[in-house]
Amino acid sequence: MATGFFTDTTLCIGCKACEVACKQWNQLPADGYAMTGMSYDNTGALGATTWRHVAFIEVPASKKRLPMATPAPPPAAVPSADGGNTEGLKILNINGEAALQVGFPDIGQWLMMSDVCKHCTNAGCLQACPTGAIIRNEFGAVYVQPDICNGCGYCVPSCPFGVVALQHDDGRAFKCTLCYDRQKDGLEPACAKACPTDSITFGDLDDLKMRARQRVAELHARGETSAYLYGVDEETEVGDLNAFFLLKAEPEAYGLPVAASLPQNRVTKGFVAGFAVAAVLSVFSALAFKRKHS
Amino acid sequence: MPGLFSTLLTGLSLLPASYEPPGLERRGGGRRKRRGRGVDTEFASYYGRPVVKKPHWVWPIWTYFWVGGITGGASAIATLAHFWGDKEGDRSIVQIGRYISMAGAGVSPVLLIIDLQRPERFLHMLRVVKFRSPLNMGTWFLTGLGLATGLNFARQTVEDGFIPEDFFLGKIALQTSNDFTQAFQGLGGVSLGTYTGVLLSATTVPLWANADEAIAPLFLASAFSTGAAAITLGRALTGVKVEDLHRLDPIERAGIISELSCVAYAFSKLTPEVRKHVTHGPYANAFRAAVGLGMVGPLLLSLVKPKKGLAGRLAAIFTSLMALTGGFFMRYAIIEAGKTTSDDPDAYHSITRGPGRASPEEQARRYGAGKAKAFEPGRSIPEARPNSFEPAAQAKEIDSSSNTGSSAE
Repeated sequence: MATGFFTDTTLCIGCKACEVACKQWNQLPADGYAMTGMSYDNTGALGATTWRHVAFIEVPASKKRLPMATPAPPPAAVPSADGGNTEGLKILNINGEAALQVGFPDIGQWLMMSDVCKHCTNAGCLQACPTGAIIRNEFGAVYVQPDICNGCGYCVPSCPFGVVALQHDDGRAFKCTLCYDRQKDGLEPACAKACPTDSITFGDLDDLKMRARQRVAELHARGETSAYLYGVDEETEVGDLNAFFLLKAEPEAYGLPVAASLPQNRVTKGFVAGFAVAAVLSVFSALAFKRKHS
Repeated sequence: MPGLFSTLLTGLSLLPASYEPPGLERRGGGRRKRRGRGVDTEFASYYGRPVVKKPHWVWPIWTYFWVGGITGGASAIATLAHFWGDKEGDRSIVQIGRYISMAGAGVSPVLLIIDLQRPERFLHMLRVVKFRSPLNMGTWFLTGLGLATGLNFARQTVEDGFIPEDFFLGKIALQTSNDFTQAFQGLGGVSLGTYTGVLLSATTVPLWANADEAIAPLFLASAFSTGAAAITLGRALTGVKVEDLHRLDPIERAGIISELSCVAYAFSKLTPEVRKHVTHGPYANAFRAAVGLGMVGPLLLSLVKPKKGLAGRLAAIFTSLMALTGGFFMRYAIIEAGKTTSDDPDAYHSITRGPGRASPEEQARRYGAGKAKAFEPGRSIPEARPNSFEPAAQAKEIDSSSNTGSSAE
């Protein structure tokens, strides 16, 4: 049974509990106290010892900054509680009637996303690995076997998402294992377990995908029409992602490629082109050798 | 190709193009304002941070690509000379070619093992055969080439009298090598020259991925030209008749012309975001050295250089050294400039953006308000966040509920 993550970025509050839980469970060393100086994101990127990374994208306000209080419209005009709250916050008086309506004008917003190894259906790192250290395990996850990896580093530039990395003092490549050890014991991965808002959900991929599509439909029904799924129902070369996302902005904003290409799809093309030129040059050289010495 | 001429001019730095090094200060690019999907963030990247990771490759890999190219080219040329060359006049080509190949096939694995971060595990490379992994294929190519080259080298040492023919080692050497091993060496050489380029193009590094079908032929053609240059250099230094020294010039010229064609094709193909790293990046001068010393210089010199006397010999030596130096710069520039494009999110996005993602309209059609019913569950959805997760049991439960639709007590 293939399992994976569905990361719903609309629920992420940027608490970084997933980062911490991942580090603790997997006994990953700290990355130091470097500040990026760009946002609340001081983790920066996924790496050999960082298998979850919360991205913070600050979308600045275009015009006004403060919430604006307006007198409440007549009670009849106030939308019902289950009709979705698009008007802002209602302040009720003691009789339960709307006394004041506080609108939410454009005050800017944060987009937060907990990034992780995508465990692609067609994984570049897995196909690139020359030692067979990277395998697909029984949970459908892409797993680096630490006892095989010889640190050639070829998986690093082969990942279309920039996930896997070499650990400089160890020499081997490391990345998210989708908590292989916890799954073996029937536990959900540490990050999903720790996520307080269920932005990260773990489970059977078919269920997750169904739930994700439902969630998008739900958000669209509420007027959040910018929500879409990244990593499923798309025709990309890497195929469906076992860790997929619900995003609200274009993928580039989150540091994700728009349509990831599989590096290994260029292998055959390269060899054919190279051998074709080799054949031409060889025939030419043979003819040149056939010629008499001057 | 309409833009070919202007791209060539840009490549030779005759036309201006702006270059901005990637960095944090360029906060998210911000130049390309894209609308139409989602929240209008105006961000073309995540704070200008790299999307993909660059390889760690430094001098062992520059050197290996260079040495491997020379080895491959020398092997191929020695083989061609062995089968189609003049038995007397081209003997030294085969001879020097085999010696150069042997040296290269000896040095290459050492360089590759040095580059491994866990060198003691180098044999793990040979525990699988993966046709989709150029690095794995290359290991096998190098192993095969090394074997064939070793056998042919042993024969050469016997033929040259370093080992007596009637000595048992000499007998073994003569018995274990023949035309087949020489052909094998030639094929191995061509494969070695090609795969290094494929190795680069089969990555996410924007420069290499964008120039995909051009890099492998470029490396192969460079293998021929640098291999020919190395053999010519070896012959010039070992006292081959100066009249015979220019025997490989047509091959070298053909290789260089192929290289120039590949460079032109690659330039016509690169996106502007990638191309600026080549023409105006920190390795622009290395590219100029590669084209000038490795391609244009030797090509022009081979047409005008003296062919007789001491001047002819010196010219052969000088041209060969030039071509070899240029070949090294070519590998160096492509690897290092590739790494700078990896650091530039704009360059990576420029090659990955394209058809493949469902448009917002398509997404809305699929998941829009009216379509919510389409996702009515056909089976029970487990709790959003199960406290424990037991793969087998859960799978069973889902199967039974979806098949029968009744509660299995």
